Amino acid sequence: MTDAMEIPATCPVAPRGWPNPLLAEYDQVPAGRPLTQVTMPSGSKAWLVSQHDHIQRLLADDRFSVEPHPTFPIRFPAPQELLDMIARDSKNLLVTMDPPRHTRVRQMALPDFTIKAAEKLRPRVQELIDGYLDRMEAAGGPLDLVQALALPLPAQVICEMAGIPEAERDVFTRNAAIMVGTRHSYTMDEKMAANNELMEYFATLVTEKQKNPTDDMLGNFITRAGRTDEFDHHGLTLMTKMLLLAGYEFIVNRIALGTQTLLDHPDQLKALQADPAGLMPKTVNEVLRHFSIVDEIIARVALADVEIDGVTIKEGEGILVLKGLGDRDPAKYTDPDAFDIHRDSRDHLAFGYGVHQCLGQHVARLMMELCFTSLFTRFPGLHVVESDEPIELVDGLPPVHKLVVGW
Amino acid sequence: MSGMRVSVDRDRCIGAGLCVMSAPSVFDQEDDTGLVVLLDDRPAGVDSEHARKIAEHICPSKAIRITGG
Repeated sequence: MTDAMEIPATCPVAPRGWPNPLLAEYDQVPAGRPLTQVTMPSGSKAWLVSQHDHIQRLLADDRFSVEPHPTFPIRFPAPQELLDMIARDSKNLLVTMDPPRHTRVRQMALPDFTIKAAEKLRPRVQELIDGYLDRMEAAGGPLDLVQALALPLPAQVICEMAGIPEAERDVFTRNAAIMVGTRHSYTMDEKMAANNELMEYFATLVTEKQKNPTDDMLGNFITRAGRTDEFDHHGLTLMTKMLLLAGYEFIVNRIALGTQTLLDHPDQLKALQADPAGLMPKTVNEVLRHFSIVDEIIARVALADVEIDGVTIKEGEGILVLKGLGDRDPAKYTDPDAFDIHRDSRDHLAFGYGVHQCLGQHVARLMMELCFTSLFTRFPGLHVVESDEPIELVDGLPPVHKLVVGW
Repeated sequence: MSGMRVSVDRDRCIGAGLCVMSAPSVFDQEDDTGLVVLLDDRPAGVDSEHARKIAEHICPSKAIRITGG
């Protein structure tokens, strides 16, 4: 099976290979995981970074940039047209801005992503989950948990954080599901069409919020941004897309992966249920650590020569951060491939590290916590029905396509 | 009592909130900005252990400094 979005594997590509995290490309990392130099498709040099300690040190180092640069490590041979588009759009995206602008823009969004802000969402997220579980119970099992809960829940939470009216949510949920690829192998044309429809919708949403400011995450961001000259209308539309889509696929996958993994470890699930207050935060962190492996890798370019452990990363050279390997680093975690909710995984790299660490992480944590608690309380007999291959892969795109459960 | 002193650099802070999760009696997040607020610059016992781990391995923007102890 092929997929239109698949990137030619000419260089280390994303570690999408659940359940075997070590794709052939990762064989380029020698035993002991020292910094390893590779040549990118463009001919520029980059370093694979796979030790937990190296990853933390380099991602927290101000001498690395996320902004477009002639030798920025791009993992596929990109036509100039695409590079130009990336360079244009990147000016308006938080994830491709360096400080000090990054600092200013992140602070426009930050007040609505604090722990307290996420906690304010708790009753409503619980109410939404209860609704999905009611529908599951009414429908009767077995059914696909991805479609019944993992996919719709974050979509609704995101819509509410963005103040998207009930009647307009279908535009978001339908197209977002195509963009993250969670339902099927969509073609590139279908993904482009979904992207275009979403961008058109977000443009009208931005206009509406500029005219009639709303007290929600997106409304507050647009209001704060409006007091500065950081963004034009198109810039706000791109930021809206980033704020609403960046964490969507991530959460869908963590709800399904976490549920399935807890079911695969009944002793740990039992311990969790006996002491939810003590073990739930650890469980959420361990699910995050254990499944860092399914994410994209992080790229940066050095703006100066950087010495690390006797190696010089030269100005203009890239780094490719293999956080999936960092979170399975035996020097950091004992028996790193084992799932263990009793370990201290607080310093995992699932949300990245450095100034770009995930803005929405507390909302993600909240949804994971409430889904796990609610599912196992409501359905004590929850079990995976398709035990051979419960998690269906679609061409290495999102790791969770389907998780059929009964109870 | 240990001689540990904690200080925070709000210019470096990105408001990830991980310090608050690990040691809520030592750190808080300011409501208006989301940035770190230091509640206790001389934590003791288990809080001092958490503060050290947070500074070394958890705070993503290296905004927490430990001296002494």
